[in-house]
Amino acid sequence: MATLTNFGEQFASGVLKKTYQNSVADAIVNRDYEGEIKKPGDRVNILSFLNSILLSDYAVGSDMASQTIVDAEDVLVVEKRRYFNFSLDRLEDLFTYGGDIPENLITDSSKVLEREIDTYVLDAAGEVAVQNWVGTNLVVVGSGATEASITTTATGGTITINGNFTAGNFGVVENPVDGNTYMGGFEAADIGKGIRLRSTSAFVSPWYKITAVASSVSATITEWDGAFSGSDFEEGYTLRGTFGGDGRNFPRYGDGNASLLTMSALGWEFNAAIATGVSAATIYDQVTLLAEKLDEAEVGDTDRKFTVPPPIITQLRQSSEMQPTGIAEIYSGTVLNGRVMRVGAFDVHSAAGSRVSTRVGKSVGAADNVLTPGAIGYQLLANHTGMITFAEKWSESRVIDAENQFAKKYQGLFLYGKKVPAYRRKYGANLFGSI
Amino acid sequence: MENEEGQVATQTEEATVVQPTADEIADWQAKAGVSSQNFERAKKAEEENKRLKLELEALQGQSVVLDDGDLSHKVAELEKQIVADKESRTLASIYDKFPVLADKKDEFESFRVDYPLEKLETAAKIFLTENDLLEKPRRKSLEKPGSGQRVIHDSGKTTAEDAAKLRTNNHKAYMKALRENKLQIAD
Repeated sequence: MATLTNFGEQFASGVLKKTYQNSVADAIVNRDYEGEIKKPGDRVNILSFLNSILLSDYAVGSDMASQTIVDAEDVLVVEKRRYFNFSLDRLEDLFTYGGDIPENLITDSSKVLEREIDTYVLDAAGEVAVQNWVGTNLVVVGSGATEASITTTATGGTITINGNFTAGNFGVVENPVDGNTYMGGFEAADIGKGIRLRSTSAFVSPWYKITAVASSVSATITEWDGAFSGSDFEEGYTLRGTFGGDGRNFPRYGDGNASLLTMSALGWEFNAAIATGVSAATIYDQVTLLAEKLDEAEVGDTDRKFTVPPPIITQLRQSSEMQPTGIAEIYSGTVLNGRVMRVGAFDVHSAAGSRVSTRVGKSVGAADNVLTPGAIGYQLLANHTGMITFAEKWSESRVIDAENQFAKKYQGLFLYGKKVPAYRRKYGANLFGSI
Repeated sequence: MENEEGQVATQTEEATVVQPTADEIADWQAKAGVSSQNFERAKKAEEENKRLKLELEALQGQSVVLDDGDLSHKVAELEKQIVADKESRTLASIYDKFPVLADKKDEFESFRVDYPLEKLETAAKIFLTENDLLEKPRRKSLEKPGSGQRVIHDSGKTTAEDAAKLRTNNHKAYMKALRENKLQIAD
C-alpha cells in the first residue's frame, strides 16, 4: 500500500510513465543529446554538421584539396519549468480506495503534462526549412514598376521591394495562384517563412528565410539553415544561389551572365503565405506533397510522422484514396502515442485540443491600405524523428509539511526544452492549412 | 762382548759392524708397527670369535628350529598381510576423499580390479567421471564490493530513495527503466 513516505517517487514515476505512453511528442522527437540536466536553464549539446562531405575528382600528380568540415554544437536550453503543488491532507482517505495512489490522480496529472509537452513540441512546425512548406503561395509578378532586390550582409542579406510599395503604404496585389488580393509587402505574419525572387519566366532564386521585418518594404533574410559560408557558397557571397535558380525549374546558377544581386524588374514570391484548404478531397494529395518535400531533402523514409487534429483524421478516413476504410488503419485496438493510421509512408498521430499550433496567414487586401487580418491556419507538422531534439527531467519530487495547515503538500518540478538543429530543419515539412 | 744369547764372541778377526741406513731403520720400524697392528687385530678377532661362540651356544640352546620352507611361507604371509593392510588404508582414504563412492562400493570394487594400488585414486576419479558423479569445482565468483548497509526490499521493487537517486543523477536511465516497466517502487 502506498504511503506518504514514498508518495513523491510513486507519483512522479506514475505520471511520467503514463504521459509518455500517450503523448504524441514522445513518438516524434529524439533524445540524442549529450549532457545532464541538473537545474532550470541548463544546456545540453547536440552535434550536427553544416555541410556535406565533398567527393572530388582525383588527378594523378595533383595535390588533393583538404576540406574543412563545418561542424557545430547546437545548444538545447532547458527553458521550461513547470511545477505541481497540491495538498495531501485528504490523501490518506484516498488511499482507502484499493491501496495504491488513485489511478485517476495519476491519469489526470499525466494528461495535463501530456498536453503541455505536445503543444510545446508541435510548435516546432514553424521551424521547418522554408522550402518545405506546403500552402498557397503569394506571387507578386515582376514588372518595371514592381521590383525587388537583394543586398548581401555578413550573415545573409536584405530584401527591399519597390514599386507600389513604400514604408507605410500597404500595397495590395492580386495573387495569380488563387485570384484573391493580399498585402503584397512584408508583415509580421511572414516571419519564419520563405521568400524568393523571380523574373517573369527565366529566373528564380532559392527560397530564403525571412528572419525579421523592418518595414513593409524591407526584410532581413538568411539561408534556410542559417549558414553563410561553406563549400556550396559562391566565393565571397553569404547567400546560396545568388547567380540563379533553384536548380530544378531554372538553372542553378542562372544563365551564367546575370547575377541576382544586380538584376532588375524582379518580382517575388512568399512561400505558403496563405493557409490552403484541407478537406477529404485534398488531404491525400497534400500528404504526398509533404512526402515529396522530405524526399527532396533526402530524408530517410522510415520514422516519418504526421501529426494532425481529429478533424483531419476524419478527412483521411473519408478520403476516396483511403477507401475502403481500414486499409491503412493497421493500428487497431490499443492506440499508443495517438498513432491511428499510416498514410503515404507517414505514421499519422492524432493530437486533440489546441496541441497543433496555428498561425495567421497573409493579410487580405480590399484595396491599398485596406487590409483585414489573414485567415488562421493549422501548422500540420510532417517530420522525421531526427528533426526535434527533446530533453526533460523531473528534477524535484517531495512531500513537505504545509506551512499554515496541519497537512502535507506534494511539490514536483518538471524541466524540459527542445531544439531543432539548423541542419535538421530540412527533416520537417509544414502543411499550412485550414479546415 | 756377549750377544743376546749370552755367547761371548770370540775375538777373531776384527768384526765389521754394518750400520743400518735410515731407510732400513724406517722400514724395520714400519714392519714392526704393522706387526704390532696385526697382533692387535688378531687379538681382537680372537676375542670376537670367543664371544660369537658363546652367543651361538646360547642360541643353540633355544628350541627354534626352522627350515627353508617354513621361512618362505612365513615371509609370504607377512607380505600378503602388508599388502592387504596397505590396500585397506588406501581404500579408506579414497572413500574419505570421495564420499559418494561409499554408495557405489560394489561397483567400484569390480571397476578397480585392473588398476594397480598406486593408481587407486586415478581409478576412483575415472569411475566417478564415467558415472557423472564427480562434483564440479565451485568457481569462485568476483568479490562483491562492500557498499555500506544493505536494505532488503521486495524483490523486483526499488526503494523510493534509489528511484530518487536514479531520477536525479541519470534521467535517461530512469526513463528507460520506466518505459520497460522495470521500475516498480516499493511501498
